[in-house]
Amino acid sequence: MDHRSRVLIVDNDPDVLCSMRAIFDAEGYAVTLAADGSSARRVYEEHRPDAIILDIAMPVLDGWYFLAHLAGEVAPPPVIITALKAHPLDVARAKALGACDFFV
Amino acid sequence: MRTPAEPELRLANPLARFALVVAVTLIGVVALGLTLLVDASNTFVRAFQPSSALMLPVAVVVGVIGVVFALDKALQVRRLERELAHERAAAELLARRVAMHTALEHATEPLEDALDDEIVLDAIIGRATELLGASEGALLLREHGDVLRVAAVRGTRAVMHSRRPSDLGPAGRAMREQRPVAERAEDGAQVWCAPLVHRGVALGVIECSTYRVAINTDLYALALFAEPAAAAIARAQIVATEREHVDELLTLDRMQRAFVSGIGHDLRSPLTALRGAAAGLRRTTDARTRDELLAVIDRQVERIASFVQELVDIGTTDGSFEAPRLDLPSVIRLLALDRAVAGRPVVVDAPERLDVVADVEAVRRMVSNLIENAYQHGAAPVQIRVWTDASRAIVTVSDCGPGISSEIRESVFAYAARGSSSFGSGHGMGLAIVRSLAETCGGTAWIDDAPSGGAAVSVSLRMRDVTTQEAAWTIDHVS
Repeated sequence: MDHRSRVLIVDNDPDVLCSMRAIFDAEGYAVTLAADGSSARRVYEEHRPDAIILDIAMPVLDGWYFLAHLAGEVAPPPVIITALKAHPLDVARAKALGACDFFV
Repeated sequence: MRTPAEPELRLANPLARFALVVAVTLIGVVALGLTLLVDASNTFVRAFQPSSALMLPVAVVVGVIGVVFALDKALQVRRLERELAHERAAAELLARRVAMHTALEHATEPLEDALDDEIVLDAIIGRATELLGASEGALLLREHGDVLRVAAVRGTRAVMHSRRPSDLGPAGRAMREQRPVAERAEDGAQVWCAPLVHRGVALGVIECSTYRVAINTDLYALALFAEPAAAAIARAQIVATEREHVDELLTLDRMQRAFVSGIGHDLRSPLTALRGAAAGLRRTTDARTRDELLAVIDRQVERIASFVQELVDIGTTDGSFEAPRLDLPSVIRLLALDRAVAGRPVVVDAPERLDVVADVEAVRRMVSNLIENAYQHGAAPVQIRVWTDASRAIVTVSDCGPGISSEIRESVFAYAARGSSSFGSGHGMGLAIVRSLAETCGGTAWIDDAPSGGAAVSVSLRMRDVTTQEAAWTIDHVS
C-alpha cells in the first residue's frame, strides 16, 4: 500500500503537468494529474488527494468550477491556486472559496 | 426681434394749415386797415384832412407785408416739421438696430462657451427661431456631394436627419450663392435662409419660417446671427475631431497596454513550464523522467522562439513588399506538402493557374498562419480553397471546429486579441499578422462561417490584369 501523501495537480498545459509531476515525484509525493476542472473533479472523487495544486484558466470547466465544488465538501483538502496573473478580486474570491494560497 | 411702438408723426395736410395761416393773417390785416381808416377819419384825418385815396395803398402795403411774413413763418414751420420727421425716423432706426444687436448678443451668448456639437446645433436653431419670432426652423449642414442634412430642428416642417439636395429651395440657393435669401413658400409661409460661412467655407444653412408678417430687418438679423453661429459650429467640429483623435489615441494606448500585457502572459506560460522542468531535472534521477523534462524544455524554447518571431514579424510588416507575378495555386500546393510533413495535412482545392501580384514569402506566411490557426482553434479536416471574385484572388482556409462567433470576428484581427475559452488559447497575433500582410499586398482578410460549421478565414490578393499579363508576356518574349 502506498503511504505517500497524494497530490492532485490540475493544469491544461501538458508540459507544466510533466514538470510538476517530476518535482513532486522527486519530493516523495504520489502525484495524480488532471487537465481541466471536469476531469479534476472525477480524479478527486476517485483518489481523494491530500492536497491540490489548481490552475485557474483552463478550457471546458475552469479552476473556479472545481474550487466551488470543493467548497461544498465537508472537509476539503488544502488547495493552492496557480495563475499567470493575480487580480485582487481573484485572490479574494479564491480565499473565499477556501484556497489556502495563491501563487503567480 | 421687435421694436417698441413709436407715436405717429403728423405731417398730414400741410397745405390746409398753410391756407389757414394765410386766411387768418389776411383777416387780421383787413381788420387793422379798417380800424386805422375809421380811426383816422374820426381823429387825425380830421386834423390833417388826408384823402381816402392815400389810405388805401397804405393798407394794401401793410397787408402784403403781413402776408409775406405769414408765408415765411409757414415755410419755417414746414421745414421744422420735416426735420423733426427725419430725426424721429433716424431715432426709430437706431432704436431698432440697438434692439436687434441686443437680441443678437442675447442669441449668441450660449454659443460662446458651448463645445459639444449637438448642444451647439440645438442652441443655434433655438436662438435663431427665437430671434425672428419664427415658429419653424431647421439647421442644415453640408455633407459630401453637396447634400444638406438636417442637423437640428424646431417645429415640424423639417425632419431630423433627412437630406435634401443643395440645388433645391431657398436653403440651397443661400448655400450656393452664400447670401441670405427670403422667399414665400407655397403654403404662404415666409422663409428666411442664411448661409453658415466660416472663413470662406460654407458649412450649412439656417432656415427659419413663420406665417406672421415679415419686416425688412428679419433677414438682416438672421444673416448677422449666422456669422457667430458658423464660428461656433466650426469650433464644435474641431473639438469633435480632437475628441475623436484623443479617443483613438486612448484606444491605441489601451491596445498597446493589452498587447504588452499579452506578451507578458504569453511569455510567462512557457517560462513557468521551463522553470518547472529545470526544477524537476535537478531533483529526479529517473532517466525516462529526465528525457521527458528535456523534451519539455525543447518544446517551450521552440514556443518562445516562435513567439519572438511573431513579434519581429509585427515590426516588419509595416513596410511594403515587392509585388512580383506569382502563380498562387503552385505556392499553395507546395506549402500544403510542407505542412503535411509537419503534421498539418490540408486538402487543396485550387485552379490550375492563377496569377496574383503578391510577395511569395508573404503568401506563405499568411497561409501557414491560417493553417496553424485552423488546427489550434478549429478541428481537422482543414481545407484550402483558391478562387476568384470579380477582381480579386481569394484564399480561404476552413476547418470543422466550433467556428468564430460573428461578435468577435473583427476583434480577433487586432494585435492585442487574446484567445478566449470559446476560441481556444494561443498568442492571439496570428490573424493580426495575416491581415497586416494581406493589406501590405493590397488585399485584406476576413472571417465567414465554413459550410462544415467551422471558421472560414479568407485572404484576398490582387490579380494581375490581362493588360499587365500581355505586357509581361511581350516583354518576356522580346527579351
